[in-house]
Amino acid sequence: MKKQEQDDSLTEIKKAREYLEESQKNLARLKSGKGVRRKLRFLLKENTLLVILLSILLILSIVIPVVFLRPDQIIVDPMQEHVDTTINLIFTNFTDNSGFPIINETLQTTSSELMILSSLAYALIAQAGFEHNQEDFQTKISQIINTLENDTFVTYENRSEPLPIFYQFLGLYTLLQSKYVLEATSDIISSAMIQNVLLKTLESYLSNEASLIIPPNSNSSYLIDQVMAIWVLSTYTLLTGNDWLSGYYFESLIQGLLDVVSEFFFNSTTNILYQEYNHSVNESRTLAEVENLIFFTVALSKAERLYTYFEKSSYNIHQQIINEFVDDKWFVHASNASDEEVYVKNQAYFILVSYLMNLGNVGIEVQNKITESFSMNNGFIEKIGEEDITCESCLYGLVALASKNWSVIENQRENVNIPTAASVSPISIYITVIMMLLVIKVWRKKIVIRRNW
Amino acid sequence: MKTVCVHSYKGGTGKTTFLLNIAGILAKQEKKILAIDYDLRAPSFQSYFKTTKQSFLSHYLLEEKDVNDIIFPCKIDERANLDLIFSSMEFLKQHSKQRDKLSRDDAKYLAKMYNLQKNVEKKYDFMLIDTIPGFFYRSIDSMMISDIIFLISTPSTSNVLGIDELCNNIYTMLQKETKMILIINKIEEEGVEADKEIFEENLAKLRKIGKDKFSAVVEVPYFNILSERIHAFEEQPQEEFLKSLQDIIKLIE
Ligand SMILES: Nc1ncnc2c1ncn2[C@@H]1O[C@H](COP(=O)(O)OP(=O)(O)O)[C@@H](O)[C@H]1O
Ligand SMILES: [Mg+2]
Repeated sequence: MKKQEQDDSLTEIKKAREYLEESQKNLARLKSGKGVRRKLRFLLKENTLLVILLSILLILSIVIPVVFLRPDQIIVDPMQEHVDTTINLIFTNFTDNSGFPIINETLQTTSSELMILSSLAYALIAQAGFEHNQEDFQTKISQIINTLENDTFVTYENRSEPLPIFYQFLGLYTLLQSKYVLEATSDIISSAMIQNVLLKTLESYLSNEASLIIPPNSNSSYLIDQVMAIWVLSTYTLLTGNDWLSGYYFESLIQGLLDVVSEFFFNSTTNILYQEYNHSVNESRTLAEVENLIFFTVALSKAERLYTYFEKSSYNIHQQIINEFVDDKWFVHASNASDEEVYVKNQAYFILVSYLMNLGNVGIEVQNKITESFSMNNGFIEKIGEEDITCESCLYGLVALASKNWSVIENQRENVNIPTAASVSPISIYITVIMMLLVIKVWRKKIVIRRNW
Repeated sequence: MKTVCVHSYKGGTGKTTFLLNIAGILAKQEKKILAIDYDLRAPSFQSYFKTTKQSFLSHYLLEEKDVNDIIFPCKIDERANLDLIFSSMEFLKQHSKQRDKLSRDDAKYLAKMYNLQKNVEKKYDFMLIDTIPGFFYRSIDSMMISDIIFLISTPSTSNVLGIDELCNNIYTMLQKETKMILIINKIEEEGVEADKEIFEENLAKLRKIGKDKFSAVVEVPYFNILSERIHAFEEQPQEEFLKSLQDIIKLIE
């Protein structure tokens, strides 16, 4: 060591020692709580706390009667305005004379896919506690379901032609969700009807030899179809408590589908998921795009609650999406984090599944980004870098806005077997407990202050 | 709540690696954990956790923000929660005035850390603090409020000499109740071609220092681990590495 350096390090050590000695006195002083200024500041701080607690109590005592007198409980949300303007845009610009959603202003036609998406979006918004025209929503949802449901879901143009499998299951999911919105006033969606659609869907697309979802007369099966089936079957089981339907036992069906995913679509050594499997040449094809993974992660997270097994956890797949498809600005890309393909659809679905998986810390980041970068002229654009606003992109915007509040309700519903007669009492119990806690807290604060000062 | 800090003489000895991995394992056991990045020279929590939040420990220390505004909950999975306080290199670079203030011989920061500790005491089972290596005022603050101090050293010559200095000048002056644990981290065993003889000699010296002056010594071998990861949540965690961490955790529970 050079002399200079040695001197420097010696003074450094000496200074550190002095600082430490001084600090020991300071720490002792802090611990004994001496010093008038500190004491005063602390007291003031304690008092503001008291004031805050008391005012919360006061506000609660005003709020409680209001909550009890209200027929529905409405959560006030700063996103309300955003929801209003988007719905307004859809109703004025993207709705035809008979009330169906239309693709855009130049293509004044509707499609079944769009109809399913719109009833899903309305069902989520309605449940998320946003203020909305309830009757209007209910009419629209029932009208759509009346038009599309024909044991399975069909195309709008030709009512005997079935929709792609993805939409069969998304349609089923929409039925499950819409039921919660319609239940009170109509019997359009009965449990028997859902069971029937579910049964017919399984009969049409589940192969007889293996537990595999495959399009009729096709050589290939697709990851997204397996995944959607897993998601819908798990959700159905969790929400209704029924795990059996006319010869189908759901838990083993779901496990069978998970095994199919790991056999045909997943290479565990390279950790790669594929989109398609060709059964005639026994080959997995095309790397899975983000949409596949998004639905897979949520499907798996629901399946995990049913004691099924897959070699990766849903959390792991969620991480994989973040690592491979999400960039530093929280944009979700379609095939990898550096491509230019950033669609509102993928953002919306990723927000939805993140909240459903209780990964709100991710959900909120992506949601902030979507409201910041996709909303334009009261609606939502389809893709970053372009300015197209369509009915579909607005509906995805609604799904994104509804996700946070709705997912809480959805997750609470799962495996809740408490009779619904007690629907008011949870609120009152909740509030009573909060009040008691507050009172205890205030009371304890007083004692602590007296003892210390 | 127990307060634990990790310290070392030089950088790159594995402070952050141990701190965050221990935090991960404890979080998985459903312990409530607050981990603080107080390494203002080379903050590194941000390379483990993706975040866009712009509230840092320095904001609190300089009385610009409240404690609750700088703590970020991080949900690792269904049950494991980890609360984090970040520091940012970029932020400190851009705000050199603040950085200068923070490096001063000023008793205020000890008081701020002490208050932070009191403030969160009821909420957590463990508060873990990452520190600047060497003789720094802010690291001394952290050590003073800690119940347990991990000193991490590799068997390199400069580290061994440094440890001796730290022991004679700082650790001996700390309160008697403070539990001092030496972790000998043999990162150098592989990697750079170390001279076998010197390596063995340094190791022996470290063991002796550990025996004489610390309450416990743990030796951790070289692991072929991916850096900047929380291993307890990896798909295929290195069981051996986790086992080493478990041994360390036993000492603080
Ligand atoms: N026992 C070990 N075996 C192998 N690599 C290690 C070990 N401990 C730490 N490392 C690696 O050493 C590097 C430095 O560790 P880090 O925790 O960042 O050090 P510090 O925080 O003290 O600067 C990291 O890349 C880390 O993965
Ligand atoms: Mg570090």
